[in-house]
Amino acid sequence: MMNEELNMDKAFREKLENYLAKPPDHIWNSINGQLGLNRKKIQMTWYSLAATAAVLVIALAAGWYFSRVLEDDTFKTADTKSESFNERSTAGDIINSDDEIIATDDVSAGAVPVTQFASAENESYFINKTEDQKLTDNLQPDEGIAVLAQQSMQLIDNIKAAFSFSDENITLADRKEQVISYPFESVDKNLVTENVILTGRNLSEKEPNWKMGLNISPGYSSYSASHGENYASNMTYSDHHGNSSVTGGFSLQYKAGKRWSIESGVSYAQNGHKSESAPQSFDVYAESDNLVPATERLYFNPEVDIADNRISMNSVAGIIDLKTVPQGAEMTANLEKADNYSTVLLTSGEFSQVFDFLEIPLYLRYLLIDSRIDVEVMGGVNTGFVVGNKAYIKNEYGEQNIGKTRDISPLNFSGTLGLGLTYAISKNISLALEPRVNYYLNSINSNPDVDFRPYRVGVYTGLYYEF
Amino acid sequence: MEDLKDIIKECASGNIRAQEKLYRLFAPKMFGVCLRYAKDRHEAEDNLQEGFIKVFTNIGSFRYEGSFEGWIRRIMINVALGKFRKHDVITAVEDIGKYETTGSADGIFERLEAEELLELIRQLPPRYRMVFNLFVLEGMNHQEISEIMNISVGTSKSNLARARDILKRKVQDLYREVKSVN
Repeated sequence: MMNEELNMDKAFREKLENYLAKPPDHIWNSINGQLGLNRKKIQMTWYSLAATAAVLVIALAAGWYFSRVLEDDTFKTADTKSESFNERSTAGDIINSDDEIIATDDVSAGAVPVTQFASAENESYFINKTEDQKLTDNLQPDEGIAVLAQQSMQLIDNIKAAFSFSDENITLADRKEQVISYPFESVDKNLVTENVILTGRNLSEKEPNWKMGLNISPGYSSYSASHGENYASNMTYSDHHGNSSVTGGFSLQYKAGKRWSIESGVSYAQNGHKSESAPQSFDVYAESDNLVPATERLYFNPEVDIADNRISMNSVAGIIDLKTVPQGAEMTANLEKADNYSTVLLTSGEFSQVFDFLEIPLYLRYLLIDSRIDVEVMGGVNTGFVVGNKAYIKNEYGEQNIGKTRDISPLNFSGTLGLGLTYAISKNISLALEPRVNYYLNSINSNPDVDFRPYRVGVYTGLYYEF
Repeated sequence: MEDLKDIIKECASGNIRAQEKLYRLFAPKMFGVCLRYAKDRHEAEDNLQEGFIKVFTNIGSFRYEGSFEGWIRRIMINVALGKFRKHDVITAVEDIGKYETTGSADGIFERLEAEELLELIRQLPPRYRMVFNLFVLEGMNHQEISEIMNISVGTSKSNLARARDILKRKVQDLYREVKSVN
């Protein structure tokens, strides 16, 4: 029995140990696909980690920055107060803590950028509080204030005497030298030195003058227009609507003054309008369509001029040269008219006319409110280059580009007015929200019978970097 | 010919071409292994796919100690074992000596083709199939089998005996059928 088992095992081993079987091809494809997914997952994990790290770094940097700002603000008050107070307390002087510290940052105004002048060895610079108290106790409130003011002036005089700066125009470096050489106590000297260095450093830090960024805005565009009588008589009077579009670009601003700045850059803008159902000619088709409420069916039914092997029609923005008869459109003769525009085009759908502009702005901005959220008014002109000029019919055959408007000026000018809200995310980065109105100052069509001025409104959102 | 070591290194760095090369090298052999452990071809294909994904995911941890083929083979077996643990409840009942051995089938197995033997193994109940494979074809002893299958040594022995018994019966039936036809 044992031998039989051994033989049996041997038979299985010999025939199956190195048995090869070709797996179906789809298995490798599945493995490859799965590995690809795993790689993507790993990539996504890395991206997530990187994003988390970036957020942490930004948060830490912001925390460090704001804590540094706080330290800077408190440096001249809390630290100096406690240290100098301890120093003098040991000397037995009673000094009003409000009088202890005279600090100023206004170096440009000629004041001394010094925090602390108190010293036990220089008692003459300070007023003995016990004597003052006796004086003020017997005085009326107004008189008390006058005495205190006099004491303050005396204190300032003492300080001036101590520094004996005869030259108001002395340089910061000179002052630093003089302050250090003055025979104050070591703690006071250090404070004075640190303060001067700090103030000097702050002064040397340049205020950012430049700002650049990107902005984008969803917008609504429409037009104002007037036409010559002849032109208008052959024009399609229809129900016109504005067009929605997206505008955006690059902006560069220079701070010319405390509140004024100049802006330029480059931006892309689109102006357009749509024309919905309204018949011009009452031929049999249009008439039957006319019986149907407009909300249920849209159609476009202009008179067209077929001459010189081309088809043209008068639109509000100018004469459109049709490349071809749109798919799904029908042409019929308008027997009521005998002039050039005696043919009628009829198609269901919606007509639209679009102009694309590349604009170079020149704006002036004025800072109304300088706060955490700055408020600015802005206005200026744009030089607008027409980079796109198209007309479309959108019917059951899709949106068809049917041609372009004739006589469109390549160079135009528009005016812009806006109100900007800017929120500083960090020292150098800010987020802006800016509603603007833009109106073309000239007719973009040079045909004397057409005065067509597009306008648009939009709320611009921008991210800016100051440097 | 490219060194296997280089292919392994390339696979570890995520080179898809190297991964395909490695797959083409070892897939037929490993599919043979998977076919022995699976109840049908479909399960074998699933195990092969899952096994190779584990190979490529963990290939960086291969330390070049011992046979690479052995390493892959072990992964395939682990996949099969994992599936077995998941789907087939292992009874903890001691069933040693429960089954009587059947008559002789000596000489018949040697005459069968590999595919026929494979089919016989696949027809075994899952636990017997696992134990038979591990003992006969992987060369494990009952102690090792009991550890990886979380059963007692006695159960492992009993399962092996039962597997052999079933195989003998099946092969005898097969032989009888062939004889009657002839």
